[in-house]
Order: sequence, then C-alpha cells, then structure tokens
Amino acid sequence: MYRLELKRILKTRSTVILAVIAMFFSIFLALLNIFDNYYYTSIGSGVTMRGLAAIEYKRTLATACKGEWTPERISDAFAEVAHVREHHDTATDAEKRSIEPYIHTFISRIPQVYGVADSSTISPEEASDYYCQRKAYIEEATVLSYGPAAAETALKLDDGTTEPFQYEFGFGTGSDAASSLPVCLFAVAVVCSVICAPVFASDYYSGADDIQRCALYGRKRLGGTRVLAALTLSAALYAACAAAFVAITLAVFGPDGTSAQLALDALVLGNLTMNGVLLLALVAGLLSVLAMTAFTLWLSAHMRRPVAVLAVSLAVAMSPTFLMVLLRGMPLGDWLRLLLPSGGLGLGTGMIVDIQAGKFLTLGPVAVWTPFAALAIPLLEAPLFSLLALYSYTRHEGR
Amino acid sequence: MELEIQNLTKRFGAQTAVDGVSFTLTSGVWGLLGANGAGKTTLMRMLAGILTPTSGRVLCGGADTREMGEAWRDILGYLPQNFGYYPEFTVADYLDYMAALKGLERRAARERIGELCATLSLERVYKSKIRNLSGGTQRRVGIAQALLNDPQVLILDEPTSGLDPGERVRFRNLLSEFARGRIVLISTHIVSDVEYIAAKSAVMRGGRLIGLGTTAELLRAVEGKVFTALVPESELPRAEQEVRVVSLKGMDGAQVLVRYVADAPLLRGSEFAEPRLEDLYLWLFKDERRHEDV
Repeated sequence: MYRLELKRILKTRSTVILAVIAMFFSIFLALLNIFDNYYYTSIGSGVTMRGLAAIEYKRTLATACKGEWTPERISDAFAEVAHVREHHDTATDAEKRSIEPYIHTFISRIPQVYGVADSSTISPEEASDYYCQRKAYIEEATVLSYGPAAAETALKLDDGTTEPFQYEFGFGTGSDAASSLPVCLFAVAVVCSVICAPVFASDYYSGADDIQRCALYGRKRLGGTRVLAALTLSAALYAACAAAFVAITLAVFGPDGTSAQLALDALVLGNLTMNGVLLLALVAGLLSVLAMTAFTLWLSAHMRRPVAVLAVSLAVAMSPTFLMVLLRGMPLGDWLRLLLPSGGLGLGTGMIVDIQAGKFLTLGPVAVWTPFAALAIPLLEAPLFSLLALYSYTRHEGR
Repeated sequence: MELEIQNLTKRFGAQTAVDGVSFTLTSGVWGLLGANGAGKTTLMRMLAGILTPTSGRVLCGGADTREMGEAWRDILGYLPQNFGYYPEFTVADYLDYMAALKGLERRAARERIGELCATLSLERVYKSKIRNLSGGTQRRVGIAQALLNDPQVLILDEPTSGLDPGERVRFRNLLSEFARGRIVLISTHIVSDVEYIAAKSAVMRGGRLIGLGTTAELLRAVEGKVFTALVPESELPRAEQEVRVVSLKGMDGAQVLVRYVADAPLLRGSEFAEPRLEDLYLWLFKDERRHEDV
C-alpha cells in the first residue's frame, strides 16, 4: 500500500513539475553563489573579478589567514594593518597586498565586539584582548535584550567554545551560502506544502474518499500510509534539493572549518565551525519541512477544499518571514515564529540567522537559545501534526 | 445473509434527510426508489459507513456494522453516485490501488482484476487513463472496483447512469448472477432496471420508507389506476394538464396513445393497463414532479 501510495502521489503531474522546479531552483541558487561571486581590489590599477576567478583569488588571499587566531596573531595583524594604513600613500602594492587578506576576511568581524564600526579605531593592544572583550560583549548584548538570566545561559553556552578561533577558506567564508541556503530550503518547504495540500482534501472534494473509506484498509491504515508517504516524499525532495545545493557549493568552495564566530558573528554561542552550522541548518531545515508537511496534511485531512488548505498552508509558511519584519527585535516575534511549524524556515530567518543573532526565548527565569528551540519544536510538531492528520482523516465525515 | 436496518435517522442541522427507516435486507437484488431528495443516497451512505447515523443502527448477522469496522468493510462493496478517481491513473493503476486497499494479495488481485475487466468489457481500456474514458466506461470502472473484493453486501448508487442500453442489459445480468447468496442494493432513476432484476424494492419519500416489498406487492398500490387512451394530437395539451402522463406514443391518424395514472379513468375511451414500476413511481412522486415542473 505504501508503494502504491507513493506511486499515486508521484503520478500526479503537478507533483513532478513542482519537484523538478524545486530541484532546478536549488541548483540555480548554488550556481548563483559561484557565478555571482565578486571581488574588487583597488591595489594597482584596480581589478574586478567574477565567478571562479574571484573564488580562486579569495582562496589565495585566505591562505594568509589560515589557522588559529591567537591573541598575539590578532594583535600582529592589527599592527600590520595599522602600519600600512598610516603610510597608505607611500606603501607599496606588495605591502597593501599583505594586509588585504585581513581586511577582507577576518578583521571585519572584530570591531563589533568593541562597539565600533571601524577596525582602525582599535589599537593592536586592544585587539589582543579580543576574546575577553567578546565575552563582555555577549553578556552586555544579551542582558540588554533578554535580561540577566539569558546572559548567564549565553555565557554558559559559550564556555564550550574552543579558543583561539580557526580560520580557513571554504563555503562559509568564500560564498553567500549562509544567505542563499535558507532561501533554497524555504523554497523546498513551500513546494512540499503545495504537493501535500491535496493529499486528503482533493479526495474529499472529488468523492474518491467515499469509495476508499468503504475499503477494508480505507481508514486508519490508508490514513497512516498517506501520512508516511507524504513525509517520505517531502524528506526525499528536501534531501535531493539540499544535496544538490551542498554538493555544488562544496565542490567549488570546499568545506569550511572556520569558527562560526569569525565567519558569521561574534554572538555565535557554542563550539561551532561553519561545517557544523551547515549541518545544523540542514537538520533544522529537514525537521521544519517535515513539521510543515505534517501540518499541511492535518489541514488537508481537516478541510474539504484543497485550495483552502493550500492558502492556509502557504500563509503559515510565509508567516516567519513576515513576523521577522513586523516584530523585529521583539521577543514575541521569536516566540510566535518558532512556535509555527515553519519556524525554522523563511526568507531572512531560519537556523543560520538564529545561530548568528544570539537570540533567546525567555519565559520568566528560563531562557532557551533559539537554535535549540528551532530544532526541538519541529521535532515535536512533526509527529504531533501527523497524528492529528491521521485522527482527522479517520474521523472525517462527508455530507 | 441479512442486513437489518433499525430506525435509521440522519439529520443535517434542522433538516432530516432520513427519518426512522427500518427494514431488513435479505439475499438478492434490492431496488431503492425515490425522487431526488428522498434520502436514498444518505441511507446508502449510512449503510456503507460513510455517514454516522443521528440515531438507529444497522445490524449484519446481529452485529452492529459500525462496531464491526474492518470486518464490515471486508464484505462491503460500494459505488457512490459521484465516482471520484485520480485523473492521472489508468484503469490498471486504479484497480491495483483499490485492490490493495481492499486487502487483496497481489496475485489474487491480478486474477480478480482480469476477471472483472473481461466481464465488464474493460480489457481494451485497461491501460487508458480514466479521465479519457466515456462516462459509461468510467461507471464500469467504478462497478469493477466495487466488485473487487467479491463483496457479500454490494451497495450501488445510480450504477447504470451513463451506461448504454447494451451495457445496462449486461450489467443487469451480471448483478442477477452475482446476487445469489448476497445482498445487492441499487438505487436508480431508471426504474426499468429495478423492475428487471430487483427481487424486492424499498420506496422512500421525504426521508421515510413508504413502500417495501416485491414488485408485484408494490404494484398493488396502483392496481386499477393505470390507463391508456387514444387522444387526438390537438387535445394532447389539455389531456396532459388533466392527468399524470407516464408515456406518449404517436399513432396513425394524428392520434397519440397516452398512458397515465389516475384514481379513475379521466380521458375518453380509457382502458385499464397492466401496472409497471414506472407507473407506481409517477403515482407516488406526483407531488415532487409538480414541484420540479414549477
């Protein structure tokens, strides 16, 4: 029955078309990361590079930054940059080139923790205190936004961070994958919702359900099989699209062992490299796609019109994006967003943004880092909505 | 084999679709007659377990069919009035799918599908998409799915609509043969189908059961009320206003043979005629017809 149910869903022309569109879109976004990659250097007569040439140039630059960034190395880098900047008019191209890797890669993340916008205002001595300054920054930023309890949790989480931080060239430091991957995963989630919207409702609408409901296995077993088949299909489509995106990205940029605190934001808590961030983003995306699919199936089993199911499902899928815009900076926005089955996905939101932003869900003295919530909530919601879908289907009564 | 319907009632809000219907279905073909809105489809859907009765119950061999669950569905075949199917499915895909839902093993399913396709002349369209088939052929696919599990109780809502005369005859013969030792309940507007094959019929009006019995027993209600009369064509409009016309047949000499039902002969030269189910139908549902006419 499971095989036949999968065959039934896959035989639907719209399913095939949507799956192909999702796959093409994933490949397109991955290729866009490569061919829209851009680098400009003003050294010499000034050169603009694009695509693979830009990537190779960045890779070459990054070799100078590779490895551990001890306080001493940070201080030396700042001193070197300060020296070249001071004598900018007389500095040779070779000297300018020597600081180029720092300016364009690693050093850009440093000023944030000192509360300044420009690294030139930070002395090499101050820069050597980066790791202590970062802890203070985390505490201050978290207290300000979420209170002392959250700050305590944040610092506890950050205790596990391995210092000094690592830097290497890869997809995290060399590409916009952190921005385009959430778009790719969100698109897959939307496609999965569209595919699953008619699973039950279209049969109610067409009358096919009346016949199936009278068959031996037409109730619980059919309902369960349908839920399982739809979840399988969503997971498979997600895996295929994510694999295509990641495979192309890694093939060109390579994996990235850079500490997420250097590649993304100083507020990243915990011992995470960009490889770890990618893995977390993929797992959270999968859980959210499954929760979204299960939620759509519940709507489909509950409502009679496929169009209504689709409308509600898409509205819920889009909600995290709107909530991020409308309730930006408000704890309520994060609560609402993360409680939705689509909470882990969206445009300008999602796991990578949650890791990057050092956000918390707070309730009294309890503070939960949002990436944990983004993993836990869909993990609970996927089976919950699946069971609700099954319950609604078996209890459904036509007119 | 007996199916006992006990005081079955279904209300949708303030509207009562089926009102305290009780009768016992025994082996053989049963006809369910009634005008549109009489409650036939609602009754059938309750028997099939698609609708939950507001009150009352259906007993199969003494057991409540709702409590029987899978055991009831295992012996049930059902074809609804609107046959919903998957547009991308071929006949083969659909019957395979339904066979799996009905718990048939693969090999047994293949054999049974082959038999039914031969019986219902579906072999030529076996690999065709259902959406490309004519209404009559789609109906035959619907009948095939209902028969897949060799059901002990077969409920067919308007099974012959869309079938051509030849197909209807073949289908009636198939049902007559199939009904030995089983219960077959068919609802149809084509009264002649019921007349040919139904051993007994139930007649519904306004959600209530108003008649039950063999065709001969039911026809007693219109005994002495069916007439034929030759009417000049020019007087036909007046005649149609005076009596409930069953049929009109053009005759030589600008005359029309009018068959009608009435309490007494109302047209000049009327003669008694042998009643048929169609006469009974028109007699019982004359009010509904008038509403429709209005």
